[in-house]
Amino acid sequence: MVSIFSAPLATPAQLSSSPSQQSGIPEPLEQKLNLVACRLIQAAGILMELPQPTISTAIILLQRFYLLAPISTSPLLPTSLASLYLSSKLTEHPQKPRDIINIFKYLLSPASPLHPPHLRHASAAGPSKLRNTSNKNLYYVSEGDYTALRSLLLATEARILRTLGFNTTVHLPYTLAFNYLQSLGVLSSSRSDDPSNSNAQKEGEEGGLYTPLQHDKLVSTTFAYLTDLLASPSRVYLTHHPHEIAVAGIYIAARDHGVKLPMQWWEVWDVDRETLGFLMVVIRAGTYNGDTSSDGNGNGNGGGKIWIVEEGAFEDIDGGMVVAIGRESVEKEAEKLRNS
Amino acid sequence: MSQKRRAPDSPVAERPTPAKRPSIQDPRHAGQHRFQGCSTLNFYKRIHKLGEGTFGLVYKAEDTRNGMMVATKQFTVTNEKEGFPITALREIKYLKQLRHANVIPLLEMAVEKPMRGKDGQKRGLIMMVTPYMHHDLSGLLENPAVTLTEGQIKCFMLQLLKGIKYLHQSNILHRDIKAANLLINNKGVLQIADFGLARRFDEPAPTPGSGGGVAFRQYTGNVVTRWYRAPELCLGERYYTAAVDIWGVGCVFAEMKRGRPILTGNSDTHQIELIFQLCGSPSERNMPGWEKLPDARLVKSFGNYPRTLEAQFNILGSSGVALLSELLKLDPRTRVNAMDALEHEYFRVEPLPAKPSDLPEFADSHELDRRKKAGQRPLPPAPAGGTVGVGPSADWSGHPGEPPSFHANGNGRHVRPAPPPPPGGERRPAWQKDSRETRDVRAPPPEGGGGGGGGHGHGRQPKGGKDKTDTYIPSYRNDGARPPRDDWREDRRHERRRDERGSIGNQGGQGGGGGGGGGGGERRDRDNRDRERDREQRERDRERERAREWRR
Repeated sequence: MVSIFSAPLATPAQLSSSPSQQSGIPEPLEQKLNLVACRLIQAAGILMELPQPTISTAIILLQRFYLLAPISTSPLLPTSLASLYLSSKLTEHPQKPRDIINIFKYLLSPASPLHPPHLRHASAAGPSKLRNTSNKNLYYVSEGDYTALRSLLLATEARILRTLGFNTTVHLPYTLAFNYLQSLGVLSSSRSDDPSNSNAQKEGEEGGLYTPLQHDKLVSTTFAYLTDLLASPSRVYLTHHPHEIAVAGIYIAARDHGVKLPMQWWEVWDVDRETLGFLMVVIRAGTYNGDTSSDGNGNGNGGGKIWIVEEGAFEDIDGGMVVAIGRESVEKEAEKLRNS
Repeated sequence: MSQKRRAPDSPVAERPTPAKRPSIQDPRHAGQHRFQGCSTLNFYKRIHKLGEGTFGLVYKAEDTRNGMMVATKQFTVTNEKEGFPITALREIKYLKQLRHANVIPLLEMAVEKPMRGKDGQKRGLIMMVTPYMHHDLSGLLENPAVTLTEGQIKCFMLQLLKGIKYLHQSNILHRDIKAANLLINNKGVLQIADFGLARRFDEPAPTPGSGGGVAFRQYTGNVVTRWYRAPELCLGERYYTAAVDIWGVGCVFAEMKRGRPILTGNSDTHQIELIFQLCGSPSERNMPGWEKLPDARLVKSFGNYPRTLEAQFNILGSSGVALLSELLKLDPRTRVNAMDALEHEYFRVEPLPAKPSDLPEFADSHELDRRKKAGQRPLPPAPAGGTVGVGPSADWSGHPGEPPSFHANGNGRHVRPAPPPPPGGERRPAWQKDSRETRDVRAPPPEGGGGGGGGHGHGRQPKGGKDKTDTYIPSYRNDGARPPRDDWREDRRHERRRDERGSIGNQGGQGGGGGGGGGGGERRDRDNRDRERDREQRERDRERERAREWRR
């Protein structure tokens, strides 16, 4: 089996001049769109109750795809749909195109929490009884729309596969991280009378007595960071191997929980200090506007919020910004940015 | 991301990507900045057909860039229904991950840009390119010019077991081990092909001395060509393990000696009966827990069979028989695993295994060629509708991977369950044909029908089982159930009367899909929207149909 420690990586050149940028989309806009795609996929995955690996795979496939194809010819919505659809098949949790389309349509509708509040009121102001009677009308997908979207989805799926050369294997850092945590011996079982706790206490931080950490707390914080990194503007999943990301997640989660780890422990897994340092900076930088929330579900609690609409104006509003993902809106925005 | 994004004071700010890491798209092709492994059809010049299947054709072809002989397995992908078939996705993914001398390598994928066909549907042509292998084992065995010596058999067995060991250690179940899927080239190298049914398993890989291990979860029951299907599968076990592949290896082993398949059941029930005629009727001693398996009651109608394996295969010699009985153990938990089988004394006694390089060259033996010469051979290996009524045509479903196409020719492949969502148009006829065959096979109702029904019963799952079930089922259901609607219903009814199995409750959902497909023959050409609507209509019909049946 191909090593689970390596992943196809992007070259610096690819990252600094992506096809999207070459096709006239300024970098800040590209980053916003990238982030929005992650959020959309993440939110859709959660609503569909897909496991995180499926969602993460979808996001990574999408990011890899956009290294080789511009957003202008492969718009965000069908690409997000297709990468989630593809990854659901790849990770053995196949979903129907119909479900995926419905969910995305919901997420982009005024009924969705991702919809900008000021627009929501505006649209609800007119037919206010529409809101009360049935929210469903807000995200109803007509047969025609569905058929059109589905064929778009399937065509995009084929394009993704072709572009990636059918290299659909994505190695995620979650299992590695869990493994590493186990080997570090910091996972006390949830019972406090577990013998491993006494060891942990010896290694406790100076001064304060080390309280046995709930097994799952450290793991879930680590996983949350790993998931967070998916949406980072640095797209570290394209530049770093899974084991490096896993180590970074552990490092910062352990710091959060005050868990002391052996000296230079990361070297055991072949991660050097600089790599770790860089990933720390990326994690600390958060996903957007200093948003350091680690809620792990990508829905952006706290910090700058992101609202998503399908077509509309890009704008910064109080507490966040609005991003439109439709092709026309993106083009308009790119135009605006280029001229300014 | 450009460099400026990095915090200026970060120690790594200046470090684009460390040189020690290959900063490339594909770890295997340094220096290239694209994903490798996908080229276009133009590079390949077709030479002749090696086989055909539902999914498309297998050709021997020449790579015009380097003159290499390859086998191309092509399939058409339309935008219908499920997009890129999940079985093909799996096969490609696994083949790209696996690298072993005894596992067929996937050289690359070749695609043709989708063109708009007459019906306005975009159709892309996709080929899996693998090295050209001169024979498949099934073809080789039927080649009258070939008689395998003991040493050659040992040589092939060693290679086969090594390949299986590698697969199992990589946590992959092949689930369709059979002679037709074992490819052999003129250098005597045997490679396992056709990963269309392969799947990752979640349990720990088997370790020496532990047999096949224990399954933690259910997998789909509809796997493995019937003639090579392990007894636990025949009895409806869904918690199966790597041991199902080992049973196939045992069948192939005996087949090499005998020159033809050994357990050629013409229905699922018949298959179990043959197995017990060979290995003796199941008991708590030789197959603990067998009575709890879903289809165990089928066995009750059989007589009490004594074990005849040793007597039948004494030609293998004492160590050969010993190995065979280890491989063909009824109890999957104690059935030997690939690691232990490699250590068997059979491989250390005279005559010693031949070296692959010592094997003589034979004329290319593919099933298709043979069929051409001999006319239609009467006995296509496995039972057409082994499982879900998917007949030979289904074969392709997933196997784009295999090179030489033995498989493709209907013969090898009977059991192919779930051809993914293929191009409706082409597939249809094949289907219909199959189903008819299938029905014939199964028709003799009392037992035969029951067998068929049994297959359905466990093979099909409610597609709902997100986590627990094998995922290619959905397509299974669609395709599998589709063929002959009447036939299908016939089966169903039969089954229902026979027993009230828990799964019947689920058939509602499944049946809906199946029925939809069934009625749809003439509707194929309509556009998507119509199709969707039709399906709903058909589902309703089916619902009604079912209600009626219950009333009876």
